[in-house]
Amino acid sequence: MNFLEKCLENPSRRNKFKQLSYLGLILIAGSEIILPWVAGESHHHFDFEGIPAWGSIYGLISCVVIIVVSKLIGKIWLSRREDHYDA
Amino acid sequence: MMLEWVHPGLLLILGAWVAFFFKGKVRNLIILLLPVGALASCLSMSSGTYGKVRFLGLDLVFGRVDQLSLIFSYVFSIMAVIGVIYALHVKTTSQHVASLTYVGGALGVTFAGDFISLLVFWELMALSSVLLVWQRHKPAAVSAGFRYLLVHVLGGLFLLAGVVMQVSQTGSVAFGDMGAFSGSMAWTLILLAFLVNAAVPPLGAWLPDAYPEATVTGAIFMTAFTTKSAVYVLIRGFAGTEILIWLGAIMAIYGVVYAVLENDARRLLAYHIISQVGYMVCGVGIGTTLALNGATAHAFAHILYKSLLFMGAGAVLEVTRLRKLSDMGGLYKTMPITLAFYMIGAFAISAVPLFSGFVSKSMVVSAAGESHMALVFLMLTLASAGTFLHTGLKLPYYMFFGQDKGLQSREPPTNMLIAMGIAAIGCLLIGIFPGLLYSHLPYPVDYVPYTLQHITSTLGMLGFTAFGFFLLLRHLDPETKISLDTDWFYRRISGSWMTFVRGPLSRLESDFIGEFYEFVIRRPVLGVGSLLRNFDVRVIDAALVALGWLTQKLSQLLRITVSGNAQHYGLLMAATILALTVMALVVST
Amino acid sequence: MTSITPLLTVLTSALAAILIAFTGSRRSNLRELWSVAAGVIMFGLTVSLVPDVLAGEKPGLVLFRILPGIEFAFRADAFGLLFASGASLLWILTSFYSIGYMRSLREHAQTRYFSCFALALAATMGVAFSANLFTLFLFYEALTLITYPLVGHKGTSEAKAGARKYVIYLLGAAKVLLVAAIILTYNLTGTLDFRQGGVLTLEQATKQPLLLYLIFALFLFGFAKNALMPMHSWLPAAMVAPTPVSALLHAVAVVKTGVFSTLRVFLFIFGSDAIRHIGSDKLAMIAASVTIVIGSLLALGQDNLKARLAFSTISQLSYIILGGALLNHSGILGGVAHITNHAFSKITLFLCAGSIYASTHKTKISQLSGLSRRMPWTMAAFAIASLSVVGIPGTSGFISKWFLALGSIELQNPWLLAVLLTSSLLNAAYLGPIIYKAYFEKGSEPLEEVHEVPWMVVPLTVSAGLSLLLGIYPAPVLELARRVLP
Repeated sequence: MNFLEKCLENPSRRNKFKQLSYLGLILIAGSEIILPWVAGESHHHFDFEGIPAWGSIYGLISCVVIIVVSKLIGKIWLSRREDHYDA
Repeated sequence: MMLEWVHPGLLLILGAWVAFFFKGKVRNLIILLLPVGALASCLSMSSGTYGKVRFLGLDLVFGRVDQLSLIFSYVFSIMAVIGVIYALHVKTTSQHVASLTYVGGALGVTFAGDFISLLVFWELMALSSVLLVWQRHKPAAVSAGFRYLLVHVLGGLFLLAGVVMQVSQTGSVAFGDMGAFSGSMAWTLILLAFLVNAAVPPLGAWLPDAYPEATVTGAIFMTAFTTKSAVYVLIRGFAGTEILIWLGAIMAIYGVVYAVLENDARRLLAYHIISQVGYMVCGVGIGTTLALNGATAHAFAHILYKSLLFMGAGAVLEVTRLRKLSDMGGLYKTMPITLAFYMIGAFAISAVPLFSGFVSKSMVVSAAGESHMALVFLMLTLASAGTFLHTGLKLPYYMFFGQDKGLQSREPPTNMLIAMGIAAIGCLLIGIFPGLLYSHLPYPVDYVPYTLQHITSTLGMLGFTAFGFFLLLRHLDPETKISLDTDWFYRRISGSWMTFVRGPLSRLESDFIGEFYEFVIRRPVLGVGSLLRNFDVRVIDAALVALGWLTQKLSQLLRITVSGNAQHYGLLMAATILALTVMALVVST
Repeated sequence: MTSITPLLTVLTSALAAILIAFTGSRRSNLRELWSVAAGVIMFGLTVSLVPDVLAGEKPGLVLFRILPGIEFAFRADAFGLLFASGASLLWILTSFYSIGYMRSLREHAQTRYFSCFALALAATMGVAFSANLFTLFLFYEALTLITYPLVGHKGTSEAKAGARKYVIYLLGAAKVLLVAAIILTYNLTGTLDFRQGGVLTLEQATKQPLLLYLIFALFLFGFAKNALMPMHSWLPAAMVAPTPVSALLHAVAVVKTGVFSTLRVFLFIFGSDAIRHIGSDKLAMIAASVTIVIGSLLALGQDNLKARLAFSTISQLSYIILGGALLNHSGILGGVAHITNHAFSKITLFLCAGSIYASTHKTKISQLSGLSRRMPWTMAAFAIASLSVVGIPGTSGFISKWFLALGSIELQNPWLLAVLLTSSLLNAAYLGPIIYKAYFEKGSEPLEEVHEVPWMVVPLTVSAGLSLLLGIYPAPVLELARRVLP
């Protein structure tokens, strides 16, 4: 039983892990938002980078967009049976 | 005669053959020493031009050594050492010879100062890398390798055509920046050839087709050299070409989109190669010193972390014989070290702070920002999220975690772990001490990766990508399907084409054209012959027969004249005198 | 400069043929010695001519004269020397190979075989060193007749049918088309001599373009040994011959006689200006391009190994014709160099096919799976020679392709370049499967009893090595080829 197994197999440890992760996310988003006020001038190439928690928001959007669009393309067009070329 | 400079590529190509004469530990020592020797040679080289040869009336340069070629040569040699360590357990020496020849070819391309030596090593790379696919000996590998070979031969032919045109127009075969010839046919053809090797869509379907079919150890080499040497030649010859910006950005997303649909672990990673190379191609296109530095840095870092990822997936393949994610799960229990190394690679590719990707990929993205290319910036950042999604989340989740399938497995052989360890150290080292890499980049670097803003926004992006992943986890379960890529065109079409060639075209040739000698010569000749024969039989023979019959009848007639009867003689004499008299009378009047 | 050396080369193997016939099968080793000795002497004689020819001399002699302008005469120039030296060197290799082949298969009628082979080489030397069309025609026709028993060697009904088709095509084309062309040429110019810059000049071209065009076409298709489509069908038909015959004669001597004669006419009977003026270079380019592409396509569809190589030859020969038709420095250089480069590569491929047949009795590509284990030298040589046919840099095939490509570009014709590239890709497509099947596919039958025959393996290794060597060090071939240029 290695370290990871001890973490993941135990349901109460798993929940704790999850809670810690959510906490981490909040902290990250938070630090992104307060950073401009704390550190002063930030170097932005573009205006949209000025949106609070820009990294987090764009990360979430990107993830969802990629998954949804790719699955869609696959379903309507590109996915085929495994033996498609073997006929 | 003092050797001024030893070509490390030739050292590998020719030295590899020595390995054939030895077995066991001695052989392993030889194949280890060779890339180490090459690395030493590269590290001790000083800038300059070496290895000049005159051939076909043109000046060939085998050793163009400058900052750009040096840094690529370093990473290629380091990769060779790692790859050889990883493959040390492979008993068939021909696999090692193929790998080392391949690396030698890549080094040859790196140091080539003219197009002909470039061509020589370019083709050598194609020929030796196809062996790495074929050496798996399975039917799928044989056919994938053949397709790979034909695509690369085609790319090589584009290069040849472009080079010949260039020589014809300029009289020189020197390989340098092609900007002055932008838009010419030669420029286009050479660029196309480079794009084929860089696996730019739509020309890049060979990569996800062939890489998963290669041997476990061969694939490690393949991930590093063909595409990165293509990036090198693009930096050398096509820096600042605008179309590359868009091709690169599209590539970055293309790879990530296909990766969502992939079930085969190595094919998923192969699509990520396309995605990461997209950053490099984009950087080449942007063309500023920051962008070119970024492309170079990213190539360096990519070789290390991509090989680490493939080594991890390869280790799983080696130990469990499984390649499809749908078949895997629960391996974290039995392969924790492999998992750890893999995750280091995954964090590196995802540009997690303290890992190599953070200091390299961001240079390219920054360059896009500095050049005010908003859409490109967004596309590249989107692709970064996607990269983490697949390589850092999806693949390890389904491979190592996920549903425990109760698989029999263990950690892979020690040499593979050592190789992975070296690569992992490299990824961390560059991430923590970026100056180590930056000092060798072709242009001076004033970029600072570790700004608070950069760190937090990266962490934000990665963190919330992970959040999205777990949110949509159900939708990501791998399906046992394949996705069509642009290789559909030549795979489907070649089938119908072969039917045409074997069928109608072949029949046209053999039954029609091939037999026309029948119609044009043999039949007429035989026809005339039989005509003449008929003539001979019916007319001439008949005439002769008739003549004979006539003679016979005449002699029968004449027999009367010799009947022995005196009266007949008298009658005949009288008749003759009368006839002669009449004739004389007639003639005189 | 008068010299009997060109005549001697012809006489050497003619004498050898007679000696072989007299020695018979009782003293077979002595008989084989005549072949090898004749080959060595012949090669030595041709090499001895090299210094003079490089200095610009043209050693030769006139034997007798029939009519003014029609003589039976020999002359050795760079072009003929290039052809003759390659053919004689490869004859030495093929003689050793034949010994291995014929003996391991216990073939019948070996005396007739070796004797006719020697005579065929005599005729080839005659073509190479002809000083005019008359002499060339005589030896050209003689070659057809001499190779007839070689093609039909096996004596089966299939062999007889193939040999018959072979002879009808070659004699037919020659008698119908060539004779007319020769007569017309004589009529117009009063001579049949080969001259640098041609005897049919621009003047005549402007006066009678149509007639010259006709003569050109008659020559182009009359030399049917060049396998230009549609006159090519004799080549696959001639594959019924034993493999050494196919190798030397149909990859080196017979077919190269055809393209050699074709190029002789292009460069030494017609002037380049004349051809360009009447536009018949376009005819040659189109016919050659069609042959190149369709030949490669048809090769793809053949499962019989020799048939695939036969169509490959048909395709590759037209590279030479195309080079000649380009009429520029690079094109001619590429075409002439390809005569030698292709000879070395193609003969290796055929010798390997014969080695495979002799060791395994297999003729089909689909049967070759896993063969490299038992026949490593043969398959390695095959792989190397294939690289040369495809034109990979570092092999001799690359050199000729380089110049042909350069020549096409100088003519500003993208189609010709596309033809060359398509054909190279197709070459890889039809040669690749043979290699990967032999190395990377699992054979279905056990191959324990398969052994390579040393007498056969050494020659094919040598020719494979030479095709590599000429790719790295092409200077000898190119030096001679450059002197062919107008």
